[in-house]
Amino acid sequence: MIHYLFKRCLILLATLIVASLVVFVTIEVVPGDPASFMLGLNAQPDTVNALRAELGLDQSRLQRYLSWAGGLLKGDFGISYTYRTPVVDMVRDRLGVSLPLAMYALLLSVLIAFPAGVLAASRRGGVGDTAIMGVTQLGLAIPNFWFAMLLVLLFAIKLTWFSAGGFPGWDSGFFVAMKSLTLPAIALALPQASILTRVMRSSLLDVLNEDFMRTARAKGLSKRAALWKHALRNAMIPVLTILGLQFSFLLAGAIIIENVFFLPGLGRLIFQSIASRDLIVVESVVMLLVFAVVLVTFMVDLAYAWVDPRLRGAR
Amino acid sequence: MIDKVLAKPLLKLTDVSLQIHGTPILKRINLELLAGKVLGIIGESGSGKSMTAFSILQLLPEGSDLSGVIEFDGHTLTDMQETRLCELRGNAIGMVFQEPMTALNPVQSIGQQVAESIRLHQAVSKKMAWQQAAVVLERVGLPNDEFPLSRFPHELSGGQRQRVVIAIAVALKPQLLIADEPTTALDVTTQSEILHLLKKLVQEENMALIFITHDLAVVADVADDIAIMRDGEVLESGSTERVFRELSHPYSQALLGASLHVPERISASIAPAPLLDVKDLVCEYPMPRQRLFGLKPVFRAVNKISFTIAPGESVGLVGESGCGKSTLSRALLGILPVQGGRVMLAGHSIHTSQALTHEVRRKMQVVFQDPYSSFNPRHKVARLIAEPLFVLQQTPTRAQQKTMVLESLQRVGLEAQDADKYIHEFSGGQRQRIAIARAIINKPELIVLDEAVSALDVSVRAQILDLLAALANDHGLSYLFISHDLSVVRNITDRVLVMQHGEIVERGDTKTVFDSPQNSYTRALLAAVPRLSDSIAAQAAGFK
Repeated sequence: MIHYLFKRCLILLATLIVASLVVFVTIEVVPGDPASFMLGLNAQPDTVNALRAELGLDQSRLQRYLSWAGGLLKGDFGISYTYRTPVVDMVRDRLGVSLPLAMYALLLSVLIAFPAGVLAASRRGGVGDTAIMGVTQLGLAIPNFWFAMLLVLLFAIKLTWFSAGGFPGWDSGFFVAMKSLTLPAIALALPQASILTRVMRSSLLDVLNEDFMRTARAKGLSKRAALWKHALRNAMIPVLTILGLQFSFLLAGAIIIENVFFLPGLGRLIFQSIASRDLIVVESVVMLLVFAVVLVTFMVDLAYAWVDPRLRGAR
Repeated sequence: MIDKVLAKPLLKLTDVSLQIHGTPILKRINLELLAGKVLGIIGESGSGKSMTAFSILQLLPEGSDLSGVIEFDGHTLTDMQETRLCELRGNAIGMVFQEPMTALNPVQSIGQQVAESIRLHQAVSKKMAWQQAAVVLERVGLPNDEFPLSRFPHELSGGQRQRVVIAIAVALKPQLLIADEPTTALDVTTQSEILHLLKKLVQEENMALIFITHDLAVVADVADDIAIMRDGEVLESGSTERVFRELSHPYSQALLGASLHVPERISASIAPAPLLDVKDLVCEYPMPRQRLFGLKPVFRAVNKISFTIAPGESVGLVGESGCGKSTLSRALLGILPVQGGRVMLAGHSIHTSQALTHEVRRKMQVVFQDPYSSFNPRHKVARLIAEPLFVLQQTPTRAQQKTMVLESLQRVGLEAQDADKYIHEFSGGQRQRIAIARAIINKPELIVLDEAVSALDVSVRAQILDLLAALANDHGLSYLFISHDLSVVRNITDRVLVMQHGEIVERGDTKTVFDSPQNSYTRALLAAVPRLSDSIAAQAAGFK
């Protein structure tokens, strides 16, 4: 088990180093000089050069990589080229919206998908199964920004239960903040819950056909008890994989929903930074996302080992 | 005999018929079993023997339609409520399954799984159930100090897992134990241990046992009564002694004949130059690291093995699972790298480091165990059989290919129109014929048969063995016959190699080795094989 953990940690570290190199190099080859972009078209060459020196753009690439990577380790993400504020502060604010939103959406998705998947699998071919499969098909087919707009129309405009957008900030209280994230979270959760339900169902159906389920029934367990006690845990591996992927996606992939609801999230930050050549912000946010993805993958690996004893001794 | 008349049967099936999605599976089955007696149900695949067991437990697949009456210990199972059935299952009726590798939940420890069964039917504390589970596991031959209850199924071998399944089934001392092919997936020595265990438990607890098998020999010395099934019908039933003495139904006779079948073979005149020459062959696998930064330890699956096969000779390679025989066969075929020694086929060396010459590839072919999964299901038979033609230096023209495919099909006893069918349209025996047709199309000199008849029913097996013998007689083929089934090897090989822990522990003429084995392991292997003729003799003697 310790071996397994150690190996996962090494992989985590190596991934981060490689990712930081890739991010740095990619941003380097993107055309456009941030200094001249910041100063506008009519800037004097010597002003541009002065700014380049100030931003450290005149140093060698290796030096710049090392100082950037070293800064990341210390939590110093540099200063935004455009806003002239520390990137750390910007990211922290945005993360304060995106992280809770992603977790909220994922929680909703799990709360919907688990019961729905179990129900569909246990009534395979029945009315419940067919209905659930139909709804998930719809959930996958509907574009989530359109669904988001429908939610706004119904709950914000017609029923006025929720506000149509914006984020009041955590200072205004936990419930107020969470309430403003509710509609976006539902909109984000719909396709994720549909995917997860389907994965849950098919994974459970596979397990229900296994020989050990027959053993469980021969022991005297009822169909339902056998499903809960023996099938569920065995069906978890594919579900965990999808969950991990979904969390990473929700963290940064919520840009359209953030736009629909005017939420100051990470997705919008990246989008804006790319548009304004604010490369230092882009680099930092992408690195942060890489870190989040790698960390989630690591936790999913741990969860695998927890679920399946066969993986604990694995190489 | 008087008991028999007076005693009420523990289990009684009256006119039990079963349809699954409209297909008749069982046709008016009538069976009786007295308390403490053993009933052997014998039949080939598709005979309905397993479905009979699932009917008794009322654990039938969806779309099943059961009619008739099944009575057990005064209850009518066929119209009992599901909740009551759950109380009976595992408690009054225990069941052991065929596939020990998959019959246990992989994410629960063996202790949990046995204790669950106890807690389900008895109001005992977790701790008590755990202690009882420990006692039961000890009884089935898994001592707690060696196999703690915290073990997971993947840490146990097939035989040990089957013991756990048995522990679950007998934990509550059921009146009836149903064992569905409990030893089929196991090695001979493990099979005999499990058989002994079942016999012992049944006697000690006075349980009734239904023993379902395809193997007459396994059941002959265990069962008090026997029922022979085919196509969902009981053809013959009665006391073991009477059934074996009379064998009134032609199918029963055929079944017995097939079990004892010896194909007609002409022994080859051994040529001086060997066809296959294996010298000091070593195959190793890396194993997981023991320590974080240590070297990976290696597992030597094949340890300095040398042997030869002469042209026209048939050599058997026997050993239990894990002895290295599959590794050896793969090394011979050149699909596994070897760590030492050499393999020569008709003067050409075979090694993964170099591409095999067309000549070598033509000369050697293989037939695998599983006739279901060793074919591409989306290709027609003609293409499947023609595949080896593409390793030839010059691929024959389409017209030539067609004639060769037809010729090959005919030689294995199939029809010309079978070439246009897909593999799922054939039975297991026919599929193995197709595999053989594929192997012989290039007129090879050596065919490696890796457990080629192990998955087949006895009557089909007899036919395939006849076919192999005829092909060898006609074309002077050499076989390397790899099997865990000693009786098959005995009947079809000239010489035999006995393998244990990666080494050949005994070799010699098949007859000599089987009649007077020198090595202790060979003796143990042979002793473990249930012998039908002995059992029948014993039965006859016992009832004189």
